[in-house]
Amino acid sequence: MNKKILYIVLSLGFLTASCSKEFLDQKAPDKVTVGQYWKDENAANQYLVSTYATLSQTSWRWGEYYFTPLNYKGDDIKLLPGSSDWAYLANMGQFSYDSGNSTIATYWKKNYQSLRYANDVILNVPKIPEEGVSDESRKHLLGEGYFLRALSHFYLNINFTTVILIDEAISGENVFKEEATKEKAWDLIVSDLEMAASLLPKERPASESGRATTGAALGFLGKALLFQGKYAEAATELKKVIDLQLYSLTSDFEGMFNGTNKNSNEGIFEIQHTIEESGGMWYSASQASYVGTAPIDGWHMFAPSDFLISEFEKERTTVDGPDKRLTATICYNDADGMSNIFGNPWSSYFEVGDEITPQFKKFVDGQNQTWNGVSGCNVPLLRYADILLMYAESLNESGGDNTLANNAINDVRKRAGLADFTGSGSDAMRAEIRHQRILEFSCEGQRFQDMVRYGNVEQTLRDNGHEFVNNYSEKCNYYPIPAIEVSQNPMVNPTPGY
Amino acid sequence: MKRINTSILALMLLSVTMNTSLNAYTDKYPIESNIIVNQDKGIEVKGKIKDKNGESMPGVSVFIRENGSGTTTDFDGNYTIIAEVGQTIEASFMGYKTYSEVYNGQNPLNIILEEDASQLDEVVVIAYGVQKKSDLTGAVSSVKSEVMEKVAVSTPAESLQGRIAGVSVSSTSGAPGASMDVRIRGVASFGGNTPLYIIDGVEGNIDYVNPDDISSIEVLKDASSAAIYGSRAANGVVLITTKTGEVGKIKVNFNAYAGPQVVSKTLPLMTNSSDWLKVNKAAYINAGYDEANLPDWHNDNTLANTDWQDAMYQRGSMQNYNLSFNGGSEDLKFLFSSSYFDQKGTVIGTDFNKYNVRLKLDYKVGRFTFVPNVSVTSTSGNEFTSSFYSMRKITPLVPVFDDTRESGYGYSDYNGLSEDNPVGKQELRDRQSYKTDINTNILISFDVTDNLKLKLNTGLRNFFYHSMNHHPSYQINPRDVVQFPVNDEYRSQFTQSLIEPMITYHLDLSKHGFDFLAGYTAQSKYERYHSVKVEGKDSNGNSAGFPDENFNTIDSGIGGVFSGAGTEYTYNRTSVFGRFNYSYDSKYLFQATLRRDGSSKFSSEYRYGVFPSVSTGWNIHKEEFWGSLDETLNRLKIRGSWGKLGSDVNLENYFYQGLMVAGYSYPFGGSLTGGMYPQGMYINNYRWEESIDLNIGVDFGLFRDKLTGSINYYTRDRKDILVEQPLPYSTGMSSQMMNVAQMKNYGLELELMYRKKEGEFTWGVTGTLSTVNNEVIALGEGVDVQEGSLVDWKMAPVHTIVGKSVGAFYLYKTDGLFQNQTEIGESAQPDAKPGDVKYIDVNKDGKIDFNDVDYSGSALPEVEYGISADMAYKNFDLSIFFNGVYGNKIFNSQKYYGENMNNNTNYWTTTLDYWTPENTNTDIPRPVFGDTQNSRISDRFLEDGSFLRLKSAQLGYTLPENLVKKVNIDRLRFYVSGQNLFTLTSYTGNDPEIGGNSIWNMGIDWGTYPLPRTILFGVQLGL
Repeated sequence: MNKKILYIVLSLGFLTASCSKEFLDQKAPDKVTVGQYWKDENAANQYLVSTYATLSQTSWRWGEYYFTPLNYKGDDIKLLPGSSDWAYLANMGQFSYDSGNSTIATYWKKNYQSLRYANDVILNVPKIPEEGVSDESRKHLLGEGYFLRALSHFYLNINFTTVILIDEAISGENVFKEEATKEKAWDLIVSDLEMAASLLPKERPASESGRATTGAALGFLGKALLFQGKYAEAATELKKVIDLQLYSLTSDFEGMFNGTNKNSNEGIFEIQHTIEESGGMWYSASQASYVGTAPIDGWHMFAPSDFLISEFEKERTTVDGPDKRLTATICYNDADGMSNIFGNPWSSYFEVGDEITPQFKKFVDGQNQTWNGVSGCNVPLLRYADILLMYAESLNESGGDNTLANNAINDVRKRAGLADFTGSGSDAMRAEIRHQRILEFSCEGQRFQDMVRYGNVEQTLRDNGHEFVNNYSEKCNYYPIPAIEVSQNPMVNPTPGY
Repeated sequence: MKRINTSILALMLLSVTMNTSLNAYTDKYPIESNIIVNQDKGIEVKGKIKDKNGESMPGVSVFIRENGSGTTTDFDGNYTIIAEVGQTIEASFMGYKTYSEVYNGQNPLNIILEEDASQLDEVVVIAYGVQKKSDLTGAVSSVKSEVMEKVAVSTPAESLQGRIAGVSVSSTSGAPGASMDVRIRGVASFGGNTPLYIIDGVEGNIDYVNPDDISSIEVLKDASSAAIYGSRAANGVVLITTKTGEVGKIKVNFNAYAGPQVVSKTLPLMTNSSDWLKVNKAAYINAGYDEANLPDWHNDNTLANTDWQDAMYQRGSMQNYNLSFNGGSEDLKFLFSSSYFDQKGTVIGTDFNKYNVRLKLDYKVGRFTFVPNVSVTSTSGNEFTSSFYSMRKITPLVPVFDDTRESGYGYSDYNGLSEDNPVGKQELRDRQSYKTDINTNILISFDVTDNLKLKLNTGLRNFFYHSMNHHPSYQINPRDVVQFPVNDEYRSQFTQSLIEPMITYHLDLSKHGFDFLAGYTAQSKYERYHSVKVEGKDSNGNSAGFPDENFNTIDSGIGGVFSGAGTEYTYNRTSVFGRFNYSYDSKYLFQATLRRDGSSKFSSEYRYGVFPSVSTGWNIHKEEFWGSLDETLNRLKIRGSWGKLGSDVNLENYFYQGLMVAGYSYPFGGSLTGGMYPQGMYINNYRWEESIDLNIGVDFGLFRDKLTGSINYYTRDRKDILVEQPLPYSTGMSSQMMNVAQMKNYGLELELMYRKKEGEFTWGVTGTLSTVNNEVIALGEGVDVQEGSLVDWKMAPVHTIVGKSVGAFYLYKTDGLFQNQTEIGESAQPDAKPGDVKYIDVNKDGKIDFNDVDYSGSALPEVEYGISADMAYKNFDLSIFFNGVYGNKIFNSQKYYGENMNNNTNYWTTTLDYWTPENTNTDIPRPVFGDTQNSRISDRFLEDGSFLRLKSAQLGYTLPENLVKKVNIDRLRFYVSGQNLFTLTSYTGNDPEIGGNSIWNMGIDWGTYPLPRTILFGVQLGL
């Protein structure tokens, strides 16, 4: 009897002990692990969705974390009193930001989140078993990984003094990385874009619009070369985009920015937005309330600068009207009385006696036609007009074919309703290209970075009447490495001057 | 060091006051007894009862078991009783062994009562067994049922409050059914600090144990006593042992109490419009507004005068009924108990009730013992759904009810006064919750020999939770309209199973005693939940479903938008453990334990942890040389222990595996596509949080154990604490949970007990005192400080800083108010006006900014203490229990909102004393609408959190035994009891016992359900 009991207890003990390995190996009931994940094309696609989603923001965050750091320093906009309620935003437009600025840090972080995912794609797509993905799709998926990696490095490199290059998957072993020179960053960006251009498809079905294509990779490659002053090489790459013969300028300029003309033939790479709700979040450019002036209950954050309006008013169309892009870009008390929004004259939003102040129309939703709430406008990061103007610039600066440059400029002018460019000589052409870029790309996060590219920023700001030019110094050309990165990363030094 | 000195001083004071005269009585007048034969009723037996030192014992009950007739000894210990030969005479007295002999005709019958060694040398429950207190080498404190009975509590944790040094118990809320926050030896982790509760050998939840069922609660404080629970023990262990049936006739116990509860203290919020308008007007004028341009409510003559606290609070009540049966033979003992507890909250619309049934058997057959133990607890309640935040922000201008509103509840038409009507919110939003806890365990033991025993402990616990939320569409605020009705239902099931074979061996070799214990545990926890929600709108945002908005099932929303969620987890552990005890002549004690734990929360390389401990003790008073010292210091033991404990509670299940989660989506081609991304960085080296505990203790007894006590000093070093390690943003992440933090606690604990009887008056005092010192050693690579939650979106008052203790307040420092322009001119605030708050320019840079925020105090008390006094005179008994803390600070966010006067929310009445050129002798600044200066998060709102509270007082009367015996009642006691009767404190909030905060935000009073003051009338009946 005694022994029996002893045996029972002992065997019970051994039984439980022996199955202890399985007993302690518990798997999550409804989630796969990172190790199990990369089994097919679908998995890679879903991973890329998260990667693309880092380009976007939910609701008001778009204005704060993306629009502001890219646009506030430009002379195409001026701050309005609404910005002073958010000093950390206004500081960017006032050239008084410091390295502790939370918006700059968030913009930095968002790009690195994209880099983290993009590197995972580059690492894992080649490892997907053959039965899970076709060779063709594998190439395209990998191309997107390279493209997105280049895209974030590109934006970091043109906006920050120095950048940290992330060219491998992040794991517990390589948390801390050091800064790289701008040249090294350009090298990686260029090689990634070349790789992407060779892997990506030229065209995609409408259901995939928003995903990277060869044109997008070549276009950004041209842009990256242009930023390095490698004009001849830039011209070569940009010509390839033109030669794809997939793109043209759209006649509905306004629609590209208000959600009614998304992914047109002009849009080469656009951040996609929708007013559709996803789990209580909206991925949208909620810009309407951002730019909205006080009478329409907007936040009154910023408005077109007087300089921008005067640039627009310099030249009228062939039928003596305002530049077609003007009424598509800005609502104001214009002499022609053509300013309108949502089909209503701009002046109708004001009460008698109010001063009718200008505001931007770009990124105000034209589908919902409301000032508040979400807006589903896409944000074009690269459009054909940019290709044409960059192409013209590359040719002009590298002594290339003057006729081709002229044609490119005239294509852009024609869409705006302007007569052909009549100036002669490379200086005149340079001035015209810069002028056209202001009119084309105001409020699109291009102006200040162009100014830095052209050089002599301070004089330009002064000439164009920037309110805060006295705060400007050379170090303001770029943002400093965020303080939080410096404090958390022993490999990184504070940006000089901060 | 200063704190230790304080404690030693306090100890000395206590001993001096208690060391009163010890010589009670001398036996001067012995009485000769005669034999008188009563032919009808037997013999009139006379005698004297003395203790073993020859001292007479008054007040001893003497009775005849057969017929229950009885008496008590007089002042000199004499008694007279009628007894027949063959009847059993019993004599009993508290603290002494009961004399029980068959009467043989001896007369006089002098009786010597022996002290009950089990009381003086009590047995305490320890991990996987029991041990004589004198043999303990670890720090174990015990609370017995007799003590717990003196405080009527709804949850057993409450009865630990102030009873055990080093155990800090505070209310998380005064809401009906709210649980207590129990911390053993301070906070040692940034996540959960809840101790491990072992109920009759099986892990459980203390809230579901009927307090009347408990025989004792033991707290294992140091590593040597707790380390055998290894990785579950790092936050300390609480052992709860339920009562077992007693051999003899069936005993019936019925306990009941009932009584009212009221909110003990309200906030000084304004209750009439004219007061509020006065301050509000001054705020606008000071902000530069013209008298003509004041907000419209200053010209409104239809305003209400609402006391919102009065509208929200009600008289609550509490009642409890407990009926138990126990009894049995040596072979089969049983205990059956059932109880019903019902509470009506002190906030409108809240209540709670609880049913509990327990059956416990103890069945011996041959060498087997089976102890099955089943407990079922079921609770239900209507929960608080409103907002105390709204209650203190809504102004008296708004009426509670308003027939002209569709909802029937008042709200202002002024946008500037937009605050939810808190009464409407509570009454329109329902939240019911139902919990059922079924805890079953069976302990089987088999005595192979007298010394070798096998045990098998098996347990199964099921916990079911169900909650239902419902609200119709409503409007109780000028701005927000709750457009659609909602039903939201949640269900979960939790199952915990345990199997635990053990073997114990005991060996005595002359003076050498050996004990061995070895065991194995497999434990599994499984939980699955789902929730469903339906909102009465369709995808276009129009009303849908809900033919009647009061319908509260999910189906009533058909046509509306449905959403749901649900998942499950399994969390398994296996362990082997052993313990070795050696004692030599009960003088020299040694113990070693070892446990090896495996947890499914870790990857296979880091899965197992080994947790050893060693401890030793020396009963010095048993040495020969002690000799005559025995007269005063009759008991002295010193002991020391070292051990390692672990914890895995702060890590989520499966987290180490690096999971892919859904979240982001992106609209390719205009339609949203769902994306997947990794939950964090894949690092699979998650491991146990480990703590190294050291304990040095002294146990002593003075004057024949009239004064007993323990002193413990401990240190607890915890490393590899899981915390969010901030990462460089260049990783694409902001933080990741990692084993990187380190914290140290050390402190001194003192427990003293003094017992004395003087004639029919017996009394005792128990005191506990503890200090906890905390130091954060590390928070992760490159992290020196972590800030807690912001108050009013502005600033975090509490910082956690490497090198300091948790709960450090960092605030702007104030230096009164500016009285004139000269003072302003000399200050760092050139824009200030007279009547503004003057801040200290800490870094002397000529401006007041974030760099002037400075250390302002700690949320951790320097000392926590409890004093209980029990007295009995004849049939009356009185217990009084005080507890308190000293030396901590509280950031009173309630006061912040009530006294910052920069907006249109309600103000405290104290603000009527605001500064004006005519009223300069005040500490309330001038009100300024829209102000950002006077309303900085400053030490203006930091208050002393020390308090001394009369936690409970109970006065009881037990009917004389000889009276009740005649109607076959063993015991009948009535009592009246009060809880939270008064609190001495300078704190101006509801209650200095704020509770309920995370470690990052200790000491912030956010405002919660207030603790009630309770008066109870009770009866305890034993049959």
